[in-house]
Amino acid sequence: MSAADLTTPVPRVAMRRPSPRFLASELRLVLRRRRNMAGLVVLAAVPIFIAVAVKSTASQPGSDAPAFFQSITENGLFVSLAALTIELGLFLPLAVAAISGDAIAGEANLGTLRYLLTVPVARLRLLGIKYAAIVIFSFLATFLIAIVGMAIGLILFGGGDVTTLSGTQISFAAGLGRVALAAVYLSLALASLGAVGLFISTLTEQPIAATIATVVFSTASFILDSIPQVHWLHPYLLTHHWMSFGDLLRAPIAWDGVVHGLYLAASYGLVFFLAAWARFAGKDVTS
Amino acid sequence: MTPPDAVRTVGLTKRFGSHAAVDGIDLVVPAGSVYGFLGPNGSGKTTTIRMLLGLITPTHGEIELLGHPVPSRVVDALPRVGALVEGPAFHPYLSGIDNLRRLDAADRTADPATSGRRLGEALDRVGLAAAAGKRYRAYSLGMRQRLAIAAALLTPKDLMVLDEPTNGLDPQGTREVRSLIASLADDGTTVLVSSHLLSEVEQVCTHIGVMHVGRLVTQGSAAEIRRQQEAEAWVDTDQPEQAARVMRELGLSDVRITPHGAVGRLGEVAPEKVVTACVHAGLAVTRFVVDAPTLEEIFVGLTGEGFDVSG
Amino acid sequence: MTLFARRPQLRWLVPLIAVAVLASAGSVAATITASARDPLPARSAAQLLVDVQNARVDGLSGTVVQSASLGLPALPGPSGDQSSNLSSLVSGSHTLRVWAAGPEQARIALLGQLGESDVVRNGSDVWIWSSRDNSARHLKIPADAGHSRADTPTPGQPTTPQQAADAALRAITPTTRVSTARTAEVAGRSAYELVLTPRDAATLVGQVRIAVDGATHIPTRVQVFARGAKKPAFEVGFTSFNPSTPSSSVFRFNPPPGAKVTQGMVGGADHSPAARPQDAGTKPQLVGEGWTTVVKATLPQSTEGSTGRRSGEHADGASPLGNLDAMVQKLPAVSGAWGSGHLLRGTLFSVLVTDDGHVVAGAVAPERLYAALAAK
Repeated sequence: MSAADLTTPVPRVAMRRPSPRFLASELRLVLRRRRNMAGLVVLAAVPIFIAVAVKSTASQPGSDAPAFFQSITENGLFVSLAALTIELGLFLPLAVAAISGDAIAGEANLGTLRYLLTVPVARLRLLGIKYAAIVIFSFLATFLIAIVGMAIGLILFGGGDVTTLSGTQISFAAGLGRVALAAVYLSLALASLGAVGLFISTLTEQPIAATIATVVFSTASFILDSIPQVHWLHPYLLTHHWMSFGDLLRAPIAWDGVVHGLYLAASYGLVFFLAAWARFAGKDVTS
Repeated sequence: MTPPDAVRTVGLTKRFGSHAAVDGIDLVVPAGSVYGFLGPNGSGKTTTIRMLLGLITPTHGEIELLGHPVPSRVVDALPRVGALVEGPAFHPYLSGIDNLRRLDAADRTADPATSGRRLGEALDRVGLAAAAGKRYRAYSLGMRQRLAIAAALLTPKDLMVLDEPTNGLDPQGTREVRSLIASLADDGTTVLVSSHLLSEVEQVCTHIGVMHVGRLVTQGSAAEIRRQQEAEAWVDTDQPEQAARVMRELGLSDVRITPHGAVGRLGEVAPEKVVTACVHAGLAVTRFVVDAPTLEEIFVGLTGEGFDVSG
Repeated sequence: MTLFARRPQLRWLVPLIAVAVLASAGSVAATITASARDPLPARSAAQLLVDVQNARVDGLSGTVVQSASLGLPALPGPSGDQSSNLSSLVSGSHTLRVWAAGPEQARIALLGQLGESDVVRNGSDVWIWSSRDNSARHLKIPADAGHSRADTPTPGQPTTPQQAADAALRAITPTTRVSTARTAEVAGRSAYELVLTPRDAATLVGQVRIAVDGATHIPTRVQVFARGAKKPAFEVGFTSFNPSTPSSSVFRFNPPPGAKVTQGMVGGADHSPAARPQDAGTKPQLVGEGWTTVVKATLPQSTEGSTGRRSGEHADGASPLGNLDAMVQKLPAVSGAWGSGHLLRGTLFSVLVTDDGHVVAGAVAPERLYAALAAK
């Protein structure tokens, strides 16, 4: 390679130190888009709605209520967990799918992809930046729900010691730590779905199609996970361990499901990122 | 060190299925030239340009862009290449300057410290400074085109690739693009400009290549191409036979009698010699015309169809 | 890079290799650790049984997974709550965490999705907690009862472990081939296996394998295989096992504020959530012997009383009989010289509910059930 460099008549233009400018630009692009802002507002509205609904209903949620609802009146922190549980089924995957499905297909659809590539942005770098923005968005969406839920919960129901699923109590600070752990875990789980979305986004020039396909992927994963006849498939399903975030609320914490979930999330993230690269690195950009 | 050719391809071919959009072309764009890349719509110009920029992988053939092999090392070449490919494309909900900011942020060779100044200069150069803060959505087609050119000018370039730069521009805008190309050329930038409108680029090009159904039917300096078709000398006089005889003696070929005089192909004969010889022979020359074929006529001959002059 | 530039499709190998590596990473690691371990010394079946009886650990903790794939038709149960319908008891899996320290401290937690049921024993206190109901039941163990119940092996039997083992083996040898293996691995630990193979080919049970931890001699897994099957139809075993005394804090339980708390005594009528309904029809009758034994019984005519009393008391045990009639009607109908009824056919056992209110069941093919009915 060095010999070739010597004979190359045109000197290479020096690359500057890696800087966060492009990532920052990517995040601004995502967050300043009105559609995405509206999505985040909807995500944040759910915990508020839950808290107000529980507060304004005279009777306590019974044992048939969704998980964590009963505990809301005891401790406002559970608004976060209840909202995360509710939104994990559709809203959060949808939000991540919207961002990740748009990542490449959106730029291709607008035609901006060809201008980014001729700037130039190396294709692997573009995928890396896009995925980094997806991961950051996953954290942002999850923590937004958790923080809004905690705030409204503490206002309406107050805090105090937190009752774990095992029936024992831990301090409020420890409980806060558990909720933060759960939010981190779910963020990483959603980020792995984002890798799937990124891959699908390289297959098409229609961002909406990529988003829908990504939501279908996560929903199909949920559905298959609930069909006992295919239980052999369950440990490999992307969403199989998502609900294991509840294991962080046990005393002591049951790490098995969470560790498996993280391994699965990392695996899906890596495999689908590589698949996105395999597809995109040699793809003809004709849009 | 003599500068290499800015672009060189060998046997460049792109097939989509069984259809060859580009079929074995050997493109040579000398450094410092203004290369008019001409051909009707659908003749393979844009596919070729996309291959030069690494957007499309060739089916066969080799490309060197500023001395770097493409697509393997395209990332090394592109920082010195400005490109406008198949019309402008930007994020509609960002302002013009924000769109440029994004492209500048994506450029690892651009200096963040000078970003603001460079953005301003590029916008000034295309006359968009006043509309920089407007959302791209609200831009007219002409403004969009200018923004795309501004984006290509954010950093100094050795090669500008302009694919149909005058599309959607009014005559005034077209003139501005021409003068922009001229000023780029003055700065020493090589320009590869594609067009299906011959008249727009004819005046500024030093080199010309013509595409027809995926093939490069001719290529060379503008002077060479003109020389391929010989000029004819028309002499109007009341003594056509005399005039024809003088012209034959001078060595003109294909000499014919016309209602008003005679006409013949000049070949290597200088036009002024024809006039002198006629006058010496005592002919009353009422009119003398040297009719060099326009590029338009040459291309009609090469491609079998005219360029769209209405668009 | 140049290779990929020339052959772009080769890029797809990269994610495929990643899939292969990631999927096999777990099993490769297991193989490496397993092969690195010294093989266990050989033990006879009798020796193993003695080992098991002599096994004493000060404490342990671990995770137990029970899974069953009994080949039953999917039974439409009450929707939603996954652990409360009958089909989930015979298919799917359940995860338990267990802790024990000495004879007086133990805790079992049944992990549900975003829920948990615990049974915690600490000395003479027993707490039963359900996060779903937000309820805690407190039981007191009488000072004398607790010990004998928990620890003493069945009384009035052979006095030494060796004798007990010999007696047990003598009892089953006529019907069962007993062998041992020492290649099992349970929860990442080497284990012996006691392999029971029925001699009678008429039973659906192919093999029962009981794994015994090589170091602590605690039984760590039971697997039941259907005849000819490679995968167990029923399995319960440790997936993680730690033979050291857990921290005493895991046995400490104080009902959280806001929880419903009820009190009771062990041995009282209401103590066990797993208690069978008392009105269980006529006394069952056994036909045949050994592995092909068929149980014959008459169904209780009404289940109303028991379901009414028990509903809302414990979510997991809610009215198993209440849905029974509806479920039976959905099973395939069969008929023969013995009459007609509905057949539940699994890989390990068959159950026949006749239209005249009899139930016959056994680890045999349905033909044996028909024969047993005809023999009445």
